[in-house]
Amino acid sequence: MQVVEQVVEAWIEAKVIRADGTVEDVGVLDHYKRPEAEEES
Amino acid sequence: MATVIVNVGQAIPPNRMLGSGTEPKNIGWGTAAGTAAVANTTLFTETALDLSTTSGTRPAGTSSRVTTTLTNDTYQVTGTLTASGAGTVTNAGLFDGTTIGSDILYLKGDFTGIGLASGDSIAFTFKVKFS
Repeated sequence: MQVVEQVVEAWIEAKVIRADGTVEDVGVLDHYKRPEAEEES
Repeated sequence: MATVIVNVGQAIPPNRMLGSGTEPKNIGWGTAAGTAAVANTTLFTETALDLSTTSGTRPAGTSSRVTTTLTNDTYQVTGTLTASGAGTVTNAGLFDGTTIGSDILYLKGDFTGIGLASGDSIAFTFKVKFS
């Protein structure tokens, strides 16, 4: 029997917008990925 | 530094598939240090837009389906939070309600502190991809 696990990824992106209008692109803050799908037999 | 879908939030997608529950599109931010972990149920010292205030309401973000790999495989929430009081933002997350100190946390991430003066903003984009 083959078992394929659902994979979920999550991440947060951010830009800082200063009061004077300056924009600082922080980009991806971190990336979560549940362990890769595994196959069992 | 970590971004996690926390344990208490794992029930939200199945609940939503059944047409129940509340969408986790409300954006919180916090000011204390810490590494996000799946056992967390809150942010690290969640604050209002005034970063010195730990009560009040969270703003609702704008949610949508977007494409990362396959069509509409990603749930996205965007929102810009503008500080009405100065502080350093160290973590942020998505909740299924708007009351600080309450509601179910779904997604949480911590990061290098971002110092904000009053009037400064952070435009957040949260993404969860199902595959």
